[in-house]
Amino acid sequence: MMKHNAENERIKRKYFIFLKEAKRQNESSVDAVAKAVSRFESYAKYRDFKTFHFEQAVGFKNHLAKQDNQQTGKKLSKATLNSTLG
Amino acid sequence: MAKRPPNPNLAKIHRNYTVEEVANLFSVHKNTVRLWVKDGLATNDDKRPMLILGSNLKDFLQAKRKSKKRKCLPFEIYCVRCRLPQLPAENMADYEPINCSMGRLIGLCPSCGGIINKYFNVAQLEQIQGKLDITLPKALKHINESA
Repeated sequence: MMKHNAENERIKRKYFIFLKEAKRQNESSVDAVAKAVSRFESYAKYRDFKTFHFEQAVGFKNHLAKQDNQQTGKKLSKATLNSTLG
Repeated sequence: MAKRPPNPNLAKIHRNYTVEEVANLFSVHKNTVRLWVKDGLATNDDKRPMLILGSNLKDFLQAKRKSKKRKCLPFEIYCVRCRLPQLPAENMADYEPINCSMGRLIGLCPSCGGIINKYFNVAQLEQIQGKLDITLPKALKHINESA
């Protein structure tokens, strides 16, 4: 199973540098973004970001709403959904 | 004092790092990181700058930490000089009590001849009696015989 997309990793890296340096975001905020992006990537089966289509985003949104919280077994909270999709 | 090995948990699994960033993160030299890559740490691709995924880095360092462990079996004693668990020479060891429940097993290393020893629980002595010929101090022997 594919675990990463080499081109995407480079794009992600540039974006995280942008958030840190240009947007002056804190390290933990960038970490949160990194986690959300990796959630999306694993949903999209590590497809190239260049082939992005808005239906992927819609599908990801629906997919995330069905996911269980690993610790409590309940559905993901609204706060998690909001921070992941925001 | 020897430097502590790098803590695998410092690597963030959703981030990726250049060689220089890894070196800063673990306070090691850049060449050390390049050595890790030669030793099998996976990189993102063949392009420059070389990128290392945090998840791969974490797994690599965890495996490295695990492979350094030398776990002794109950009847083996770790030889500090050979850096290996060794069965004492001629399967002989002395037991030297420290208090009523703990003591030291002392033997000789079969390969380097140095003294090897480890702390041992009295209650577990019987379990290794078959493997090792343990010499008990006289007082303790007396108690064992009368019991």
